[in-house]
Amino acid sequence: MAGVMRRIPTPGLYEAVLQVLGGANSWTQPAAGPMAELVDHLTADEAECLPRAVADVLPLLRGDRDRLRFAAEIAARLDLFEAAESVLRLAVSLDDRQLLLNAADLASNPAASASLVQRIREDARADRPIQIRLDATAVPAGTDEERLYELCWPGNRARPPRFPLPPVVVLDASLRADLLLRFAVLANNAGATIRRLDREAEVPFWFGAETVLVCKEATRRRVRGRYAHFPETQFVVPEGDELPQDPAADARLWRRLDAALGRQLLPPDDADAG
Amino acid sequence: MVDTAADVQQLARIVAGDHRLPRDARREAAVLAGLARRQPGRAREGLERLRERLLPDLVLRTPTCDYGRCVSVETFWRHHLRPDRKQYFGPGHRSYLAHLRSQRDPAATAHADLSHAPVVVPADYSWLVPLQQIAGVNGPALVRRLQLRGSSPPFLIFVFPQDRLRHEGVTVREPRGVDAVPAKLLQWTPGGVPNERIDRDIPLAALGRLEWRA
Repeated sequence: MAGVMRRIPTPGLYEAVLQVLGGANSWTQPAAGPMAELVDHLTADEAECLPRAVADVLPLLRGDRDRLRFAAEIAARLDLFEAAESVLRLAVSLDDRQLLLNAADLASNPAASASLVQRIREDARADRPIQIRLDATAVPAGTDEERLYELCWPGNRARPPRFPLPPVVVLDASLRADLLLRFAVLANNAGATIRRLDREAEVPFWFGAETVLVCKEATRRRVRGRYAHFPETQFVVPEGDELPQDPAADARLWRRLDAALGRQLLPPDDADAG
Repeated sequence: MVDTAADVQQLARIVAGDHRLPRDARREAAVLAGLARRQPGRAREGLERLRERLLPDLVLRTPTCDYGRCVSVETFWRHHLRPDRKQYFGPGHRSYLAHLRSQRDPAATAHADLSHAPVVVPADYSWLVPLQQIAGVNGPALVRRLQLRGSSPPFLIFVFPQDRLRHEGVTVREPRGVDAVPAKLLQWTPGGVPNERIDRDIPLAALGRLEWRA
């Protein structure tokens, strides 16, 4: 498991996460709103603990199913795989299929525990949407399954794409946590699917024609060793080996992302928020 | 982090400032505005309870025109998409949005994918506008006209024809300040969106069609 789980969130962080997720409204708010609220002004230490804080706060929302599902969706959008166990427990105890799908989305990250993946697999033996989420070796049948497979395992996507799917921005968990989370929210708001690449977990089947990896140099070498065919142009190592904090470097980074993807991610200010 | 204390205070002030509500309810809302600074969650729950108490006394009328409800694709994906379709579109709405955009008739596709749940719009979010008021209005103009804070096109319009609404026993009423609470409509003002109406749960059978507004 990732090192982030070793730190304990402060009461203030728990309070803030509960305030945001407990006050979010899934009928009237785009997910972009509470996602931005979760990560704004986080320190690097707080950001390291945020996934665990979200995981621990989720059970407090069980009395409000809409808010609980919205919170689990937000965790899945940001690939907070540390929350997978919590989402699965809630899915089982509340017999909630939407939560089960989110648990599978989160557990598909190789940094999630293998036993958790096994439990979901056993519970959902013949459930194709769950199987496809969890298993890159699954063989999809039919258009819906094929599209879902390419969404979950973008390593197979080709140019031109077979399906109109969001591009994938993989973020290296070695990057500073607060900058990474803020970048993740912006990229998701700009239309990308977000995956977090853990420092120690195996490199998953995410690296295809519509994927860009934003990473440190060491991670670039690690992924290159695993996916030699992944084009050099789709690795984006930020200037100074860290995500930028000044607007000019930030703008340059977004331009590199657009160039790597061969399509324009909408600038965050203009992105479709709803 | 967002100052939800300020948000809840604003909602309480909307209720307290709505002169069409009973005086004691407005006074209670003013007290909750004070509580919101220290305990916003409890104050919001207090406003929701106040709303539930007031609703039975508000006058309902039979609809006299066709109505529309405007939702973002994100909201449609989250709340209106059939679960057996939604399970193929991942944890965010983007892939469904891209799928709709790739269709020749996105509204027809969305209609075919619509949930079969008997209630298509729950009471708390059953904000309606006369269809004529948004006829031919494109997505960006809808954002301005309907004060759709934070949402952007394309939108889906749920069209509820008058005869279907009547047949299903749907009634409408003018919204009050308390109606801003569940949806957290911080910008709501009485008459801000002319002729808007709200109701109790709206059944699926009252739906006529969907329209796509890019």
